[in-house]
Amino acid sequence: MKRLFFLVLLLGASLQVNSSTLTIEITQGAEGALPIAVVPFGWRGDPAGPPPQEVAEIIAADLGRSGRFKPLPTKEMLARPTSGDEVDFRDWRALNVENLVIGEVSPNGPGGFIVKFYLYDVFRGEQVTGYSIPTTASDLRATAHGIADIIYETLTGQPGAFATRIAYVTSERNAQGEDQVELRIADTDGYNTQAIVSSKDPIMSPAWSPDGRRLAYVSFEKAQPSVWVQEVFTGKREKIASFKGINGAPAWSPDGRFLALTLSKDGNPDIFVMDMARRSLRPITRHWSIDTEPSWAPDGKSLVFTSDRGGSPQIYQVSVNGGEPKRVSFEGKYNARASFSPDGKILTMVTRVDGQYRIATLDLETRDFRVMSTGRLDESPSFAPNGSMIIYAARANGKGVLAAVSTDGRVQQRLRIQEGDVREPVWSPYLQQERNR
Amino acid sequence: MLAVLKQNPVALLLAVLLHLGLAVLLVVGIDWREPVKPIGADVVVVQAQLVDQEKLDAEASKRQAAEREKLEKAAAAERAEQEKAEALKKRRAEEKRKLAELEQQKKQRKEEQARKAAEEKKRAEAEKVRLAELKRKEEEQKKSQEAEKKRLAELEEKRELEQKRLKEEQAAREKAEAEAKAKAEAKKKAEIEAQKKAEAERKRRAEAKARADREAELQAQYQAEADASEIGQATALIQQKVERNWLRPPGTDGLKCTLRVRLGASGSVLLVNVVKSSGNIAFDRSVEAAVRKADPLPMPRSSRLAAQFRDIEFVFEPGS
Amino acid sequence: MKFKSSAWLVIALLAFLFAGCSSTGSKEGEGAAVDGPGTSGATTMGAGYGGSWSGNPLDNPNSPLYTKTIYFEFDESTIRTEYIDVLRAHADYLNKNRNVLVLIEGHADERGSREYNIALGERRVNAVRNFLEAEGVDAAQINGISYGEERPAVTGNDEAAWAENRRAVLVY
Repeated sequence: MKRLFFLVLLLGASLQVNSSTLTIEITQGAEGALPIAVVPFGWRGDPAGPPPQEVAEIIAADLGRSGRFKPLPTKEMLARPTSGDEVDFRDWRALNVENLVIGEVSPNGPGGFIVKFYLYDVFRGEQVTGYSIPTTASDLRATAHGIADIIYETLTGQPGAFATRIAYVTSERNAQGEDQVELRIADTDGYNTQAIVSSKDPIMSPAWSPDGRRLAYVSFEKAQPSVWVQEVFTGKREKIASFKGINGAPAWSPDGRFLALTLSKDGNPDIFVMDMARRSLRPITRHWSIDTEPSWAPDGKSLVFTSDRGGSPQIYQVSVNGGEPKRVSFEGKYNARASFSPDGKILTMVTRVDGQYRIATLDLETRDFRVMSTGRLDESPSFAPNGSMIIYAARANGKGVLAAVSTDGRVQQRLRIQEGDVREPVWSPYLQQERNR
Repeated sequence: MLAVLKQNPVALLLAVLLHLGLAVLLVVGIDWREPVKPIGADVVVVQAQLVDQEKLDAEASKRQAAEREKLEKAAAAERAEQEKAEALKKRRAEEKRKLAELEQQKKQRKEEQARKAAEEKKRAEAEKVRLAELKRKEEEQKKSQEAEKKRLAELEEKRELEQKRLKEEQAAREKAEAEAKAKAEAKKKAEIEAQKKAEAERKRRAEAKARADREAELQAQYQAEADASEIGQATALIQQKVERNWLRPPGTDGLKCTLRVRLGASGSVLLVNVVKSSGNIAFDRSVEAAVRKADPLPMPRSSRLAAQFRDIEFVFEPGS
Repeated sequence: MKFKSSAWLVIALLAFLFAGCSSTGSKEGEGAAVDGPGTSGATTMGAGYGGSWSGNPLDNPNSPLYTKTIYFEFDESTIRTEYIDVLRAHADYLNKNRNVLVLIEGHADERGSREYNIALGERRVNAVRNFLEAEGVDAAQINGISYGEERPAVTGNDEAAWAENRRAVLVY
């Protein structure tokens, strides 16, 4: 009897021995940003005339700013390879760096360059991708941002938004008490700022067209608030709406064919949609309350807007064909200035919590409402075109500044744009890389 | 003072009025008390009148009638007395009779008691007798049981003796048989000797083998246990090393990725393949990096067991 | 013991005595007239707009017309009672001078979203406009514009600054 038992046991043990694969379950790991090293690019030209930008620095700053990557400081690098044959993966494994970017810049005709970069998987010990990009001195920064986009998308699967721009309003009051107001655009890392409009009267509510070539905005020049549309690269502009009363809050439809507006020409502020080709107007809301700040859903079928028809400002959603608006925000007594994420799943808005104005997100599916920022007077939230970050206006030391928070709330950062009062940031869509060509 | 008075004309007026009032009161006086009401009964007035003859006669007849009444009353009183005395007599007789009755009752009760006592006695005696009877019966039973026991013991003895005898008879028989056999087999001995030897040899070998087998079984059992523990240990070490080296992208709870990893004899990572992707590129890359960063993976000490670790399937599922 | 009614008379008289004693040193019994502060806000001038002012009545510091900015409560566009006289004076002025145009600027404090504050400012403009028109002013004389929070009178992030920015301004 006992013998039989032992025999069975032996058989059982030997069965395990003979199976071909062992399964091991891994259930925990550290959460965090991906360690990456971006080695300063080599310069293959005249040592006296290096290129005007440090490409590697731009790339590393972009990746770090996204919150998903942790770039290795240059001084901690054990080696500085600039070509594939110089790479020894042991140098990087020792530092626990998982990805390595190296590259070089070579001259390419007068004022031209060729930028080559290679992305390596350190622990696999092999190259992941590499490109060779011709460019010019003035486009060098844009090229670096483009490389950061490629690296971001290769390693995370999500498109990057580093080669996009932001538009914003600045204001400075001189000694005579007069305001100098400007509508400006800049790269998302704060460089290459450029004034689009300059005025003594207020400018508000900039809005990028979906092709990134035009900006709509409100200007109070000549003491008359009007909506203008201006071409970014040529500066050409035209007045779109200048009715009696309020003309404001322009918002482009996803196909660029319509512009939603707030007009109070009929007695109180209501939402209208203008057909840009025919310049005809169609009312979307008709209510004695304030209806303003429209924003389109990415599928173009509905709009969200701010209305105080319920007694205090809340977010409502209405079909583009008009009809009965449906209330969407239910937390707190003040919600305004809502806009959709690029995938249409989340709204960001300004919410008031205990007398403080903050940025919040509302997941339209789970109804999860999260307060994302911590200031007292945060406003004007705007999604990045890859949906990963929200840029907004905050106040610091009595001045307006720009800040950004990642959509999952983990990373917060202040943006260094310039001096003076900065407000109303709006993130451009993905841009065609045409620029000055 | 005058200035104050001039400033407060109303006060001055009130004061003067007050003093006038007080003076009046002093002169006139006030009676503080309530008028007293007299407490009295009504006064009775006697009315005197002339006396006449009619009245005198009437009074005489009245007196006579009164005397007659007295006499009647006396006679009635005598009669009442007599009745009282008779009643008394009756009562005494009654009492006597009652006493007699009581006496009678007492007697009866005593007799009753005596009778009852006698009965009790009888009963007690009967009880005694019964108990004695019971006792006797018990003792009888005991006796009979003991007798029975004795009998059984005797029977047993008899039986044992019988068995002994049978055994002895058998032994004797066997002895006889054995002797006969031995005698008969003495001849066969030579032949059987050889067989026996061979037999013994075989037995010894079989026993040795069985022992060896048993030892081998135990050995295998120990080995299996040791193996299992070593496998478990190595698995845990691998798991820990990979987890230590896994830096996963934030917000990827709920994802799952399966890797197939081929190892060299000393645990070096030769091949990594994603068998089942999580759908998230960053997550897939991070699990592959985790395995590669953990290279070389700790292997079990014995190369025999290490063979099982040449192909490992890793299932990455954070939070599970 | 009970008292006769005449006794109560004496007690009453005694009461007068004590009443006289208890009054304060200032006056006897009756309260003096209290002259506290009058109603705040507009200076109470009689009819006419100040005695000897020869310039534009809008620039006369003693005239209610001098006040051209009225303030509002948070998130409110109702005219506060203290400004009614001022607005009446302006309505009167406009009625008497039919060729004069006035621009009403509406403003809000910096809290909340900008376009919504533009609409709030317009509510304040309309409140003033409606008041003036109710007083008979011709609508053609009135223009309005809302600046929302874009043109603060006072920079600052506290209630003191915000109160100064919640305003409507009459610009002639």
